[in-house]
Amino acid sequence: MRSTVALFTIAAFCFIIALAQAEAAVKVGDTVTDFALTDVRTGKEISLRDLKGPAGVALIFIATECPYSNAFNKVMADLAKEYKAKGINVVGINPNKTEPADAVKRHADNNGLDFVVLKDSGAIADQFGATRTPEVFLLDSQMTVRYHGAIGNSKLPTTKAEQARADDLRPALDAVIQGAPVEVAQTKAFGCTIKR
Amino acid sequence: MSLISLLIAPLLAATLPAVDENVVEKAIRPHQGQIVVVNLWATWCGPCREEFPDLVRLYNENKGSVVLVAVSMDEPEDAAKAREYLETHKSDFPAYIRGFKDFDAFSSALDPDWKGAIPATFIFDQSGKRVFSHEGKVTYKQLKKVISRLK
Repeated sequence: MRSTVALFTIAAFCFIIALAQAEAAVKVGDTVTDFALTDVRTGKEISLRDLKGPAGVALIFIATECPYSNAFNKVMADLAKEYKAKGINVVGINPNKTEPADAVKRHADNNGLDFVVLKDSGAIADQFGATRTPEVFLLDSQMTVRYHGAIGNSKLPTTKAEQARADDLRPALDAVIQGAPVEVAQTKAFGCTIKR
Repeated sequence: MSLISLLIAPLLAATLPAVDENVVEKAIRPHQGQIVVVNLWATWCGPCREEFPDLVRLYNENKGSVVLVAVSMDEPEDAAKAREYLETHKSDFPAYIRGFKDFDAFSSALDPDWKGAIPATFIFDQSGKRVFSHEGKVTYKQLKKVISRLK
């Protein structure tokens, strides 16, 4: 009997730990609390609330040295331009410990990432439960997560820039702008492990 | 280099077999009775290259009871690069290159909860049941602990 109780206690404890870990990750439908990170170009802290467009914001965890992330550089820059006009801002977040702010800035400038790129020590990646680059969290105007996953090519991931598309993220962006439900709110994003 | 070896080299390089959505049937089930360590890696992935010697060491030390199945997530046209890297490790574990058409189906076959980052390592016990999943770099010690428990 005593061992049964002990086992039950251990099981319950493990369950609580598992729950706590699950809760650490931001899921579709969750509303995100505001945070501030340093803009690699200006060196100034800027809050998510200030970065958000009138219809929302697409947060994309990116890397300087990950071929899967780099394959989407032009796709991200094109999306940023197109959707800024439609009310959603694209924001890059570099969470890799191995990639300092000055390298992130150089990379952004050299690769035409004409949108705000933030440097994260890893705390925001932890808060979101992000594990890889590139990985997208699309928030609407109320800061509610409406889409989580790949930018595109989720069926057949690619490191080739000429094959990279935004076929996963684009329908979600359009739905959020139209105030419609996002049909595919979660895709599996393949990518490089975030270096914590 | 002779003309013949120049002609043969690309053929040899292209011999890394592809593995698709049926990864369990093709690459894991044939080793039933042994512990199968599946490692997803790529030539361009730094942490993958860092952990790889540990995986090879574990395999070399446990031949007969543990199989390492290395699946390169390089694109199929980069099979030569992947093979070249594997050859530097001079071992005889089975190795594949990704050949799936549906990443979701492939990843779900290995572990539906795997989020999609590489390196990723999955351990299947002697009956083929998945007993360990890890996203990110693994260490020899970590793997050894799982293996010892199963032996």
